[in-house]
Amino acid sequence: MDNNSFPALGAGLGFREPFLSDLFLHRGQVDWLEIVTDHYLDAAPEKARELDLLAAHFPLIPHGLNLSLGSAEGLDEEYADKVAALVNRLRPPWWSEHIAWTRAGGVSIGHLTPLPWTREALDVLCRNIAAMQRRTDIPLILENISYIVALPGAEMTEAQFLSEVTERTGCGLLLDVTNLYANAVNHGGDPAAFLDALPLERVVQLHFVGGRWQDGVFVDSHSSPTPPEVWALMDEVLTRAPVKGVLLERDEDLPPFSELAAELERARSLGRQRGRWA
Amino acid sequence: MGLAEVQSALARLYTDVSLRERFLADPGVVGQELGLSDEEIAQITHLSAPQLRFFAASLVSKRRQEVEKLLPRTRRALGRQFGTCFARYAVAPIPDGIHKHWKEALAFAAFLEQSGGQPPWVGDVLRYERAWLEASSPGRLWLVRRFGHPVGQPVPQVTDDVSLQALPPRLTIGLWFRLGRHGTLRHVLLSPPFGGRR
Repeated sequence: MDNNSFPALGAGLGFREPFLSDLFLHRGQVDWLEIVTDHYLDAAPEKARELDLLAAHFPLIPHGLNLSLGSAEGLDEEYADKVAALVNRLRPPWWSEHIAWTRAGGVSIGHLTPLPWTREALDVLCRNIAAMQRRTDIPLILENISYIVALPGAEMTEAQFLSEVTERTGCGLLLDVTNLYANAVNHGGDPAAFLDALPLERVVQLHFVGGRWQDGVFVDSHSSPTPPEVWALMDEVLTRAPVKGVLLERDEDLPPFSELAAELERARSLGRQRGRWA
Repeated sequence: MGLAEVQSALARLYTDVSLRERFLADPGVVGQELGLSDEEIAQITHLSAPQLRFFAASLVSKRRQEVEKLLPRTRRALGRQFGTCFARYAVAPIPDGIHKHWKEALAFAAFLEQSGGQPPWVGDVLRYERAWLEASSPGRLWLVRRFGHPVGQPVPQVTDDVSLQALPPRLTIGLWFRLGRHGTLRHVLLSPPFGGRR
């Protein structure tokens, strides 16, 4: 995967239904949208029309939540087919999923869960990614997740694991700088050292947002403005990596749209200063 | 380490509170019950109990937040009881696949209806939102429901006392329909004079 082949998208917003009116009232303040694939699979007619409307006005990047690329039992074939069909229909410059698993042994976790940083997990992940790559030729980029439970038995660091998986699969990275910050404060670790160990030339896109503190844990709740530490990390990555798009992922405690637009403008300006887009 | 076996075990530990607490008290015995090898048991014995409990609680919290978005009026009507009820419901298996939050909202609504105990107006608000969810299902062409309260009116925020009579009794008919499978879902609420006030 060569980042130079991707268009520079600028500053985008994770689409949520409550944003719909404001997006069209303030069209010039949002460069592109990320859509959650699940919302448009087996969709009601209203959702299908919503997707058509968004696609007619914004560059769209599909973002998966439930492929469970890290499941040792393999992909849910029917679900994987539907995700690939949506991606193939939209023909975006890239699409994204998480380095995580969400189900095993017939039990759905309901959320993204970390893999152990082991050779076996790497093999499983690469096998499942290859299965998706056979379904679609649209480049897949992989997102690092935040995690609460640190799994024992690691054979490498998370950064080494990410490097290996991108090397073996050819995938790019969706670096969630908020998740990077969350893992560093919750589990210890130096974000700068993490970045040093990553193949930064493979970073295509960033996610950013704020979370909340609960019982001494920073929770990636997508519920608050982006904190200064995350802005600093984003600036660092934009300086060093050939990023094509940054995306604000706000889900909870939604503020007035003007506050989201202000965050997007700040991110857009950062990208401009670092020469990532005009 | 067999990743498939360990992921199966972790999935259950993350989502089954009684199993999780038994595991934390005696990881060896529960690890064997879960079909793990001695080596795998030794590995997961090192899991942090506070992290496990925190993560499990966050899973329930995320599920509740998603359901709240799909049942906003019921959330307002029940106030703090919404969270209490969801905590009781959350031992149920987590729906999987596409539209899992929609499935969970329907399952929770059914749980609340079966549990009962709400004032009639709250029960009607719940049935109204459940009907919306059912009507929004792809392929559903129409749905009719009868309510004893004007469920289309704004629901006040209730913080403590759900016995507060927030909506006055009034016969109301809800109709949802699509003109064809690809038609837009339309909705009307009727309060006919012949129903009158009860």
